[in-house]
Amino acid sequence: MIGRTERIAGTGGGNAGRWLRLSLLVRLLAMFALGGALGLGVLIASQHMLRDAAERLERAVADQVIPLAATHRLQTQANELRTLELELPQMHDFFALAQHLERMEGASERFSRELSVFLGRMSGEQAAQSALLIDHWQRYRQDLAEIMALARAMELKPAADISRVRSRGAYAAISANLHELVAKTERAAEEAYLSARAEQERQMRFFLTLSLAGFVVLGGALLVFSRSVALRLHKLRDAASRLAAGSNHGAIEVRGEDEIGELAVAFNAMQDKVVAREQWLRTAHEELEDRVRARTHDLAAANARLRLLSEAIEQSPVGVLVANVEGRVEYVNRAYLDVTGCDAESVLAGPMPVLDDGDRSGESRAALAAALRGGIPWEAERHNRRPDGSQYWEHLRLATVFDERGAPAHLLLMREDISERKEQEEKVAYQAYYDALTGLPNRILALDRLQHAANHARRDGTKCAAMFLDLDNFKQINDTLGHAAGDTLLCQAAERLRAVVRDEDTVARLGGDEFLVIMGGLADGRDAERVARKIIAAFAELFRIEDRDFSASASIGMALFPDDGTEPSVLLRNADLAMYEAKEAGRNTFRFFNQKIHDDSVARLELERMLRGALQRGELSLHFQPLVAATDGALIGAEALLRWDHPQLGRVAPDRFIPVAEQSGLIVEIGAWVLDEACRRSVAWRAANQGEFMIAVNVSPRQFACPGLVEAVRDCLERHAIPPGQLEIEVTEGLLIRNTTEVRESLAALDGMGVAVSLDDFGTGYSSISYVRSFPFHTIKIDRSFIRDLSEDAGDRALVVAAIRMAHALGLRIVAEGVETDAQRHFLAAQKAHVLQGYLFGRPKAADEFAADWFGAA
Amino acid sequence: MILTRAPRLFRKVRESTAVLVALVAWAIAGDAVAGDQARRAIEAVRQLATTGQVPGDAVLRLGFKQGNVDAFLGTDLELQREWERDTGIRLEARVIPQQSALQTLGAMPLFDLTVARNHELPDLVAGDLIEDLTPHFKRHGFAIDDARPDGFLRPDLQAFVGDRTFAIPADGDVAILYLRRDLLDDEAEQAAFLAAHGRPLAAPETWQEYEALVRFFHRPEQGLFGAVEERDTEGAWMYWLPRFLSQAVPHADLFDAQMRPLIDSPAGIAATESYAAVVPYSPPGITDDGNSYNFTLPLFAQGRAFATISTIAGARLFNSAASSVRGRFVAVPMPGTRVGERIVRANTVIYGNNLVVPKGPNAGLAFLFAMWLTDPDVSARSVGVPGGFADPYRWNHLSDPRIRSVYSVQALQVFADEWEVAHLPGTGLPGDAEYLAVLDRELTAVARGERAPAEAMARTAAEWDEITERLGRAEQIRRRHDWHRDQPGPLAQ
Repeated sequence: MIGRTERIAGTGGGNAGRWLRLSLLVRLLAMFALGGALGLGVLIASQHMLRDAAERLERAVADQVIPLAATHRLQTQANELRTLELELPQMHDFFALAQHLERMEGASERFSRELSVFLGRMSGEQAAQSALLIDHWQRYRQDLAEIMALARAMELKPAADISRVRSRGAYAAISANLHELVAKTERAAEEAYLSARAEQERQMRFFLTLSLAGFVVLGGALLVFSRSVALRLHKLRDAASRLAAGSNHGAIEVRGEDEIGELAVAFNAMQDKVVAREQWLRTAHEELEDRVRARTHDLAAANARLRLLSEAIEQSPVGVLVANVEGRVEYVNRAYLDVTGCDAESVLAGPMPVLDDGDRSGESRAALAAALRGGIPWEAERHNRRPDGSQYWEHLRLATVFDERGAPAHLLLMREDISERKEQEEKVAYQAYYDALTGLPNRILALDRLQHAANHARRDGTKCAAMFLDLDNFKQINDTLGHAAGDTLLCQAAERLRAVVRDEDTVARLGGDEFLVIMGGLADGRDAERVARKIIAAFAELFRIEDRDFSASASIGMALFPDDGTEPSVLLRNADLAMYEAKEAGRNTFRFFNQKIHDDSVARLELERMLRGALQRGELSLHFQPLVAATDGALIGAEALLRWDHPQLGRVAPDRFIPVAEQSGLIVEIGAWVLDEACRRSVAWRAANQGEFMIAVNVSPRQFACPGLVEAVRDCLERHAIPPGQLEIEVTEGLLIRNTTEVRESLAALDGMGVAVSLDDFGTGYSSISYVRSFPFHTIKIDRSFIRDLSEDAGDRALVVAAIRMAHALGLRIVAEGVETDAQRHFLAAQKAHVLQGYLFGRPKAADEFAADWFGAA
Repeated sequence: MILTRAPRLFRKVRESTAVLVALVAWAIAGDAVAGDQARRAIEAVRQLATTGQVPGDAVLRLGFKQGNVDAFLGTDLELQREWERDTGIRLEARVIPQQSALQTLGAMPLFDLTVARNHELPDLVAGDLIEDLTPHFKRHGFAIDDARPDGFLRPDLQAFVGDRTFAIPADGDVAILYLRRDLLDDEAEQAAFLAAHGRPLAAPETWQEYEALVRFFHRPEQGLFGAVEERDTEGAWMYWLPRFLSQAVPHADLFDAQMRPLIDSPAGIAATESYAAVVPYSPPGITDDGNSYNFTLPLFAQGRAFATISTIAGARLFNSAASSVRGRFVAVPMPGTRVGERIVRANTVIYGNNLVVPKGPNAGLAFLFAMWLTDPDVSARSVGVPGGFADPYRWNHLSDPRIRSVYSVQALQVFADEWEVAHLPGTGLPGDAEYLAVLDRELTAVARGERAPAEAMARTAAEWDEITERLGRAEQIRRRHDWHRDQPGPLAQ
């Protein structure tokens, strides 16, 4: 390789030597010189031929074409002139005549000028013919002048005569002359054409021969030169192609001392370097390919993950907006547009949306600014409005995306429509704190409001009131008309309550027909009293339910903070107690809580505690008071009366413990025992009384409310073999007021078993003849209070008489209670009461004593 | 003064004050606007070609009467070459028969532009044969007005039908009386006339004076006829109407408000009598069919008549080198009628050629050619052609040296004055050709001595009534009212 390089370097030294070596330049110059000489020869020959041809053409044009054209022009102008001449007499309008004459004059002038030029070019041998033509034209011109003069003088007819006869011959002579000239010119032209053609063919043959010889010599020289150059260039080309294709066949063989030989030496040197470089590149390429393959694999995996994440964002139900650090929005997904109600163009064209909250703008803006400064994620929930005006709740989250260097690169804003969730939350909260029927706060919220009211009152030094309200007639309406009507009553009651209290006061439904009114900011109890009176008055108006009017009063108990308690539960309980006071006070009224109520309540609870187990402990017993026939005083039965003898309390009055038993439900168990015990005792007395002994047993409304009463009575009758009509169940009017279906069905069932049913304490309550008629009563018992004043009170007397007559009219047995005097006895007997009961015939006594009194044996 | 509502405005122009203002404007403006009309027309054509609205090989077909070609396209078609060079639109001129435009357009509606006489416009419009050019005028900012120095002569009589523009004036023709000045100036003739009539020999002021002159100079034995007025049937009304208009004062109407003919009125009969009065002093054959101005004008040009009535074209003919009366004739105003101390004179537009555009696809292009051709400069070159056919129709023509040399200054002055008393030609109504044909026939009958004037006018009136009924009297009344409400009566002098 070193030797080749030196050889190339050595070739740059002597230009003189290269010239002597017949270099390519020398050979090319020789070729060009030879070609140039050949071209010059051909050019000179062709120039000579062209010059000859041009000269022949010029002669032909001068000798034949110009005269021929001029002759034709003359003929045409003569024809035009003749046409104008003949048209002249045909003019319809004298005003057009002048124009025509002008044209004729013009045509005449043009022909004269053309003829003059034409004659000037005619050769001497044509002189005779020229003279003839001039003569004819002068004659014709004179005729035309005469015709035009006549026309100008408006003498068209003579003008037409000249045209038709005289000028016709002159025109014909001119035409004939011109035709003859044309014929001669055409013959001369034909001869000249044949001569020129022969000369041209001879010159063409010489030119072709000269050109052919020159091209043969030049071709041979080019062939020799091109072969010597081309063969070696082909070898170089093939070697270069192999090198380009990557195959190495070693150094090429060098021939010749010219530029191609030097090129071959240089090529071999280059080939050595290229091969070495190629080897190095191949190695590097393989390493690079391995690295690229690995990177491509990683890139594909990253792309796949990116596509997945991108698709996840695109499909995400959470709205996503990406903005650059300048706040320019770069991307939003579909959900973002759905959440905000904006269109993509406006969002992408605009800046990062302002996240101010209309209500809490300062707070939001400060928090957001802090989050942006610190790159800390920020989130909030807020109420927003879409461009179409619809409102929604959204959850906003703003996060900063950092680049590889930890610098903020993008802002990521996520918006989620949480309206549905908010709605559910509100619904749940509503259901948890509000009564579904009336929409009023429920017990939980009421207690919370009561707590707030108490707290407020404590801070302000004022009072607050808890008003416990119970509808007096709700159960009756609910049982009579059904639950729908009951619900309607409750709703109307709620409306009336809300109407009479202040907006800041709370009206809550605690359950059933119980309402609670909470009022704050009171100076004293008189403020609460005024509201209670308003409520009573509001409920005085009839309720319209299912097109019927109903009366439903309210009983209200009130407790004041802090006088009657400081805890909501205590206030509620005390108000409840006060409400019971109101109930007991005859309903449709209100009561404030006081210590006596509380004490009574405590006492009642204590009594209840003691009553529990009294039966098992044998503290309860039955006393029997005789029932005698009014007519003769004969014993016909007895009423069983419950007595409680407590070890510490002694004998407890029935009107004390029986209500407690009623309220506590102990009456159910006790009542069952009373029934069984009374029936058991009556068995022996019936036998002793000739098989007739009516045993009367009081049954409480609570027992009717419990299932199994009828079955218990039936079992008792069967167990003790009580004949039909010998057991009388006494019920009070309180039972009837409820008038539930269960009560009606139970009484009917008892009647069906032959058990007599008695209406106790008739006249003391809400006695209604309708009750008497609509229930299967056998007996009514006139209350002792009417009997006691029978002799002094005419009113009582009238009432008793009326009751007895009514019973007679209805076929009922009448029992008069509390008979203590003979006068009473006689009066009642006279009025035909059926049965009498009272101290006059015997006090209530224990069974043994009763048996001893009436049957003489224990 | 733009004349889109021409008649009313023209009346004002005719007032002397307005004329004075126009003359001042002419003096100030000079030739400032000359050529502008042609330039705008050329630009509009180029615009049409550029936008493809006119194809590159478009040919405009022109239908002109014999002799019109040079008048409209210039000597050796100079104007044609100029138009084709500037626009690239080739012109193809054809000669149409010497007949009415109604007949020509009805039979050969293959022209893009042709000529029509003034009185023919109503019939062409009613027949929907020609384009309403009003929109074209507006589009190209071209308005026909009579403002000096280069406005049109009385375009209200030549271009409009109602308030629409249907023609562009291109040949101004009113009737002019030509007399032999050499005879009037002859002292022997003057003495003889004074002796015979008791007043100096002078140009006539009334039709009676005219008839007296004709009688005086009627010397057939000397080869001199008193008058060579046309009495050919075709166009007879043109020589009758100036007589009627000057007779029928104060309102020269052919119809009353209900379109009842007034032609059989005393004025109509007197005009007819005047029309027939010159026949005895005319050359034999004067009433033969076909003896139109081709018959009468050569006689006057050859010095064989004392008087003739023609258009200003007569002056060009009589002033030509071949004329025997060159330098021996004079143009004078048309005679009138004496009413008290006043002479009432009236004239009408006779013959005349207006450029009209037949309905067709090249209407826009044809309009632009007409706009170019009637440009003050271009039209002066066409009217100034020595052997031309069109007569001056713009004010600048009257001052053009070429035109003044052709017509003579004296004749052009009379010509300009006569426009002041000119009236609408013919009836100015649809059916004009029918109305005038009846009148021509009856006038010829009177001229030939076949019918008395009163009878002829009565027959004419009766036939006119029939024509009116056939065309719809109410419609004719409406058109008459709409189209001619601004036309004045004859002017009293």
